[in-house]
Amino acid sequence: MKKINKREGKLLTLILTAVLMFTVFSGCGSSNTAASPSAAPSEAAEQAQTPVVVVQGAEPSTLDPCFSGSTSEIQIMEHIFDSLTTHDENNEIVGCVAKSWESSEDGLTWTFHLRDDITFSDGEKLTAADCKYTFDRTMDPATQATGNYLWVLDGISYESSAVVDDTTFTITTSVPCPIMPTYMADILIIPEHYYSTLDTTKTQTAPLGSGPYVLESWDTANNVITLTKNNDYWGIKAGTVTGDIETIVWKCATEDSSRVAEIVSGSADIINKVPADMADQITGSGVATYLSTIGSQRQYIGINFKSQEVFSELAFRQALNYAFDADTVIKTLRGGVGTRVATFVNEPYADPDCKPYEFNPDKAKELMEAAGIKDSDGDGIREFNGEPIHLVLTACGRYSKDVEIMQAYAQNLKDVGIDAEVVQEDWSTFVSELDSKELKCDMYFLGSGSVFEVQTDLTDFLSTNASNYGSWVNSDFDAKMDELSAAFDDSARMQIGYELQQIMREDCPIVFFTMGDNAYGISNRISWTPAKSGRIHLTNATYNG
Amino acid sequence: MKRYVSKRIIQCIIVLFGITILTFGCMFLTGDPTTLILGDTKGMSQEAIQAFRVSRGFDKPWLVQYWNYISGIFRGDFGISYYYNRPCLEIVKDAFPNTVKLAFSALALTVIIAVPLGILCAVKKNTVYDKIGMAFGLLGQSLPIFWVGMLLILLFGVQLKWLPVSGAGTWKHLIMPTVALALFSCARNARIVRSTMLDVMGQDYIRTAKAKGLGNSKVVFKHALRNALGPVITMLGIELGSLLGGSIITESLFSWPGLGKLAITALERKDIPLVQCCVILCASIFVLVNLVVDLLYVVIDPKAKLS
Repeated sequence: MKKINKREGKLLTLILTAVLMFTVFSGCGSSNTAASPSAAPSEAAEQAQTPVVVVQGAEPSTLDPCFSGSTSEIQIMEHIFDSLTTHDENNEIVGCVAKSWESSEDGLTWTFHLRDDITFSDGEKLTAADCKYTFDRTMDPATQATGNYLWVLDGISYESSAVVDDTTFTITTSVPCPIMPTYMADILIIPEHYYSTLDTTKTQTAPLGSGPYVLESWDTANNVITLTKNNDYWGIKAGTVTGDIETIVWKCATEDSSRVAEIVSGSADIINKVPADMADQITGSGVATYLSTIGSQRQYIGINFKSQEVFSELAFRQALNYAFDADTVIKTLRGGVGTRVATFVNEPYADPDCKPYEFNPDKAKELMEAAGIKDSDGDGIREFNGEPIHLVLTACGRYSKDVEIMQAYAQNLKDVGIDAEVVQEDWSTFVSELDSKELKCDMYFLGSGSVFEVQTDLTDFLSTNASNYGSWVNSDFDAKMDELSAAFDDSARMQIGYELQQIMREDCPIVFFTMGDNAYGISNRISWTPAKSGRIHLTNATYNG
Repeated sequence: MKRYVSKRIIQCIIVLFGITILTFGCMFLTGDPTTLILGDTKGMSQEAIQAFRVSRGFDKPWLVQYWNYISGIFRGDFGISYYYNRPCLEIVKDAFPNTVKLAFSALALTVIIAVPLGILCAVKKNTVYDKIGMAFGLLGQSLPIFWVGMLLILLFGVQLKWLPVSGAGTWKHLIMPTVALALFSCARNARIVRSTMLDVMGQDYIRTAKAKGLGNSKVVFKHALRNALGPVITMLGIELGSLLGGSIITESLFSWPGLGKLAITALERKDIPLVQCCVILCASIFVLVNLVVDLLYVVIDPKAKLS
C-alpha cells in the first residue's frame, strides 16, 4: 500500500467532513414522511386496538397509596383505585365512592354515605370498613406511611374514623374542617381483606383497588406498567367513565428530548412536561400535537425575610414586584403560556380584583427613593442602612426555565439599582434548606401545588406553617386565616379568601409571577382532554376513527 | 504465583472493607441518619419518626449498627429502600441485568472494532487506512456520548423508525445505547492497540522473526499482537468495570433502566440505603474485574509472571 501524499490527505479530510456533516444534518432535519397517518383502513383499525402508551417525565416508585407523594404515581393509582370524592371535568368536587356527605353542627365530624354497588377487582364488596382501614393503616406507626396521605391527615387535623354501617362512614377532626370533601379526593380507598394480609414491602408493586383499570403487570426491571380496563367498573354503568381505551402502558423517560423523540417517532401517545421550545418538533411531526394548559401550580419568587433587613421595608418589596418584567419573561421563555398574577389562589376562589403588578421600573425606583433606599455614592447600587444592596437569587432548574427567569430578573433588578447574582442549587440540597427554613439565598424560585381550594392555597403563608419558607409574618393575615378555617358557608369563604388575597397583594410576601403550565404531546390517534390538576387521567380518552 | 494471587485477594478484601466503612460513615455525615433519610418529616408524628428510627436500628450504638450493617451485607440484606419501600437488593437485581447486557454488548462491540482497527492502523502506518482509522479515533473521542446518542435517536428512531427511541425489553432497544457507549471506547482502544502494536513492531524480536522469513500474518498475530495485548487487556478490564457500574449519561438518555440511572435517581432522592447498595455493588464489581484482569495479565504476559 502506498503512502498517501498531501493532496490525497486533503481529499480524505474533505470526504470525512462531508460524511460527518451528512450524518449530522440527516439527524437534525425534519421529516415529512413521519406525517403519514394515511394508513390503510385495516391498518388504522389495527392501530386503534394497540395500547395507549404514556411516557412520563418521572419514574413511579410505588403503587401503594399510603407511600405515594409523586404525581407520576398518583395519576396511575387514580386509575386503579377510587376515592371518596373526586374532581369532575369542571374541577368541581363530586361524589365517587361517597354518594353524599354532611358535616355535624360543630364541624368536627363528617359523615359520608357510600355507594353500595362498588366491588374491588377481586370481586369483594367495598364497605365503610375498607374506608376506615385506609385511615387506620396510614396512622399505624408500624406502616411507616409517607407522602401525600400524611399531608392530607395533617391538613384535616384527623383524629379518628368510625364505621356506622356498611355504607356509612364518619371522620372526626380535632378542629372544624370545612374543606373535608376537597381533601378526600386525595385519599384512595384500599381493601382491608387484601392489604391487611400483606407486608408493606409486598404491596408496593401489587395494588388492588376498585377503580376503572386493574394492574396487568409491572415490569420493574424495565419500568413498564400495564393497566387493563376493568369492564365491571361501576362507573361504566353510572356514566362517569366514557372512554374506550382498553390497555394503558405507562413508561418513563426523564430526558425531555427522549420523551419528545418517543411521541414524534410514534412510539408514545401522550407525553408530559414538554418544554415550550420543543413544541414545534411535535406539531411539525404531523403525528402528534402540542397542548399547553394553565396549571394549578403557583410559581413565584420567594423572599427570605430572615436574610436581609431591607426586606422588612414594604416599599422595597413592592419595588421588587414593579421591577419584574414578568410579561416579557412569559413571552420569551415560556412560549407565551401563562399570565402574570398577583394572587396565590386558583380558580374559582381567585379574586378577580387582585390585579397583577405592572412592569414599571420608574415606579420601583420612586418607591425606593421615597423609602430612603438611594444610591448615595453614585456607583449605581442602592444602599440600605449604609450598605449596598446585593441579593443572591436561587433557582434549581426544577421548573421550566427557572434559572433563565431568575437571570432575567437579576437584570431587571440591576436596572433599578439593586445588585443581584443568580446561584443555581441542587434541588435536594435546596429542599433541605426549605424544610429547615435556613435558606442560603435572599430570593428563590419556587412552585407550589394546589387542590383548587382557597384555604389550602393560602396555608403556605400562615406564620406558623411549615411551608412558610420565607418566614413572612403578618398578624392580619393570620387572624383572617383563622376566620377562614372556621367558616363553612362557601360564599363567606369566598369573601374571606378575597380579603386574604388583597392583604397578600399589598404586603408582597413574594414577587408574584404566574400559574405554571402543563404541557403535553398528544398523538393524533387519540382524543384526550387533560385535567386541570395536571394529572393524566385516561378514563374518558377515546381512539380517533 | 499462588503468593501473588493470595496477596491480590487480600488487597481486594481490604479495599472492600474500606468501602463498607465509607458507605456506612456517609449515613452519619449530617448527624442523625433518620432525618437524613426521611428528609421531609412534615406531617409525621414524633411516634412515627421514632418507630422509623427503631425499625432501622438507628437507636443503637454505631458499632452495633455497623456490625448489623456488615452482617446484613453477608446475608444479602442491604436494607429497605426508603423511596421504593422494597428491599434494596431486589431493586438492584432488577437493574443489574440491564447494565450487564449493555456493558457486555458495548465491550464486545469495542473489541470487535477496536482491536482489528488498531492492528490495521499499525500495520498500515501512514497509509489511507491509518488516516481513516485515526480520524475515526479522533472523532469517537471528541464526540460527546449524549450528542452521538441524540443523533442516533433522531436518525434511527425518529426519521427511519427502525429502532425504539428509549426503554428496554427487546434486543432492538439495546442497539443504540450500545453503539453510543461503544463509540468512545472503540476510539480510545483502537488508538491504544495501534500505539502498542507500533511499539512492539519496532522491537528486535519482530525484526528477527521477519528476517527468519516468517509470513507477515504470523509475525503480526503470533508475535506482535500477543505482546501488545497486555495494556489493551488492562484498559478493557477497567472499561468493563466502569461499564458494569452503569453509565449514567447513556442510561438516562435512552431511559435504559440500569444501575447508573438507578444510582443517580437514588442520590437525587436521598435514598441512602439504595445508594449504599449501589456503591457497594459497583465497587465490588470494579475490584473483582480488576483482580481478574491482573490474574489474566499474568497468564498472558510471562514477564509479569516472573516479576
